[in-house]
Amino acid sequence: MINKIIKVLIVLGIVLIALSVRKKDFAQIPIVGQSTDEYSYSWVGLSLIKTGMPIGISGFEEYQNKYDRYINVDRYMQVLPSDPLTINYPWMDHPPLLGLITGGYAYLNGADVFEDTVSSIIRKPIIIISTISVLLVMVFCWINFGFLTAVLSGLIYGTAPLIVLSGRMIQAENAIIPCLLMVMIGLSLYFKKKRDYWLILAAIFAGLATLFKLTGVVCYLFVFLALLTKYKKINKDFWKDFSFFLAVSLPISFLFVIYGSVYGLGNFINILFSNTNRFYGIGSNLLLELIQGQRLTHHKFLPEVWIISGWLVSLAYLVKKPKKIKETLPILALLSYLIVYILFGSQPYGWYTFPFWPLLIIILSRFLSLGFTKSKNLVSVFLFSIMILGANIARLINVFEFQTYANFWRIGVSGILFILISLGILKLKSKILIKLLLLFLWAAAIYTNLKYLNNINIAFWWENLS
Amino acid sequence: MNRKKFLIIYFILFIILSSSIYFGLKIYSKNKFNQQALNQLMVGKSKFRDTTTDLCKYQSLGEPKVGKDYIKINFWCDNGLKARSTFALKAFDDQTYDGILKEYARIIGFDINIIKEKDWYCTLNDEEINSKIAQTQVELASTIDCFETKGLPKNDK
Repeated sequence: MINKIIKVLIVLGIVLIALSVRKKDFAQIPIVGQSTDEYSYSWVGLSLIKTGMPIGISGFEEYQNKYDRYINVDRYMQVLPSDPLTINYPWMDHPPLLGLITGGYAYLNGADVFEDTVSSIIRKPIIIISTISVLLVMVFCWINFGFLTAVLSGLIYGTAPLIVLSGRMIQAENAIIPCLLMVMIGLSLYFKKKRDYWLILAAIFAGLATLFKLTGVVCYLFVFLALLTKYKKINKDFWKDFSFFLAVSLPISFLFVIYGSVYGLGNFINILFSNTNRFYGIGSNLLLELIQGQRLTHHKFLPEVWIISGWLVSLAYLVKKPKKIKETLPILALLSYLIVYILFGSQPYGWYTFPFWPLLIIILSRFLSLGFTKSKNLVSVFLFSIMILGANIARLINVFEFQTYANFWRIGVSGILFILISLGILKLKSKILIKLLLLFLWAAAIYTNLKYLNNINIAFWWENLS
Repeated sequence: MNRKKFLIIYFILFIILSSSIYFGLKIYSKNKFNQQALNQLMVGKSKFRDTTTDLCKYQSLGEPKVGKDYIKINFWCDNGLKARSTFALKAFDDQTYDGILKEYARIIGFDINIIKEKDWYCTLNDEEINSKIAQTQVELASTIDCFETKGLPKNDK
């Protein structure tokens, strides 16, 4: 019992760390106005609450009601070159749930007009949501892979700099992430315990995900593939579960159609289909870009070694094809979102890739923790750990400052690598030493995450983030 | 769990919820939404925004890509500071000198009366503002200059 309480306290401690790093300078960084979507979502919610009419920024030609206006929230026009914003109504670019959360929160805090939706107010709910995602990543890992993976995934997902900064942005993807994780948790528990209420839970969150953005359809795709994996073929059992899942989730998704029809079904359908004409800016090199060029917004790149490692490990998992369903779930979720990303992709805005990240971190954490607990793939685990720590150190000190530690690094890393390879060939195991070594490397990697996050302020943003 | 029983109750609840959303929103938007409410939301003054009395403190960055459909607004201060902005004219409902300056004051966040109270000297395309010019629609690609003191040179460096 005490053991369990301590574990819960550790999880809560990690959640608190995740919350505190997300809260630091959240109203300034990412720079306000670099994505006016953040305001648009909130305006849709605020206008819905105040007038019953969703009003937001779009630019689709299909809108009949169009106004060009300067709305200088947070004085962003004094920081960034600004064209007038194209305001449309009834705004149907996306479902309204995220707007209702951020705009509703602004309304409760006294917002009356669009200029009142300042980032110090509207970003608060999204920070809570992205912190909940950290908790859900840990819950999923705990249920499926044990406590160590849960802790590791929570620490990584909670502190990886790019993920922390992305978790402050009002983008629907940040709300789809906890929904997808809830679906994954619900389905894991359904497979384990065979209780219908876990399938219902998964279905409810699948439906909710589509009320944030249509790419929430990833949850449907994931459940389809997961049930197919579970039953191995489209048989009676598969249909029994999948049709029940659809019966619960589809009505929730259908609420968007009902909402859209309030303002005219013709307008709703026009806007919905105009999405298909979006510029496919992610281009044919989208897969390479996914792995090598992580972005926060359109132009802000912040390569994240945790995510790159996650992709590399995921590719290895794909080749290896895990046998157990619990090992397969994160891979299936990743592939489901990849399908959605390729299909729905438009401009290479960073936020379209956010939902990949918790899945990659789950897969990476599982891989690392297997090295720790079962000494599996030790050389690879060590190499990944060194790659992550090395990249994190390089973000903190340049190559000239590093020269002080260069000998220690090259002798240490090459020496350990030689020993690990030799131990592997001789099939000898030195578990305690290896565990201590990995713990040290991971602790240092998390510490360097925090240290880098601590350095990020407005000046750093402009000078160091390309 | 009896799935059939659950789904019957679930669908009843769904019908109640969706009807409430449909009719509730329809009635609510009919009663609350109008042009005035729309304008108030879009260009209403924010209670959270700081206002300034230093008209050279803030400027709007960038040049809108609108061909000649723009207006330049420059404020020149005695201490050598300046605030130079260019706006797309299409974003101004009232395209007279008075209307544009009023909207500029809202965007930048200052009290428009300061200009009169502190005797700023303003010109439209280098022509001194009089009551007739103030009420006439400005031409495309016009420039409004306001000087803290008449005769102040444009510190263009």
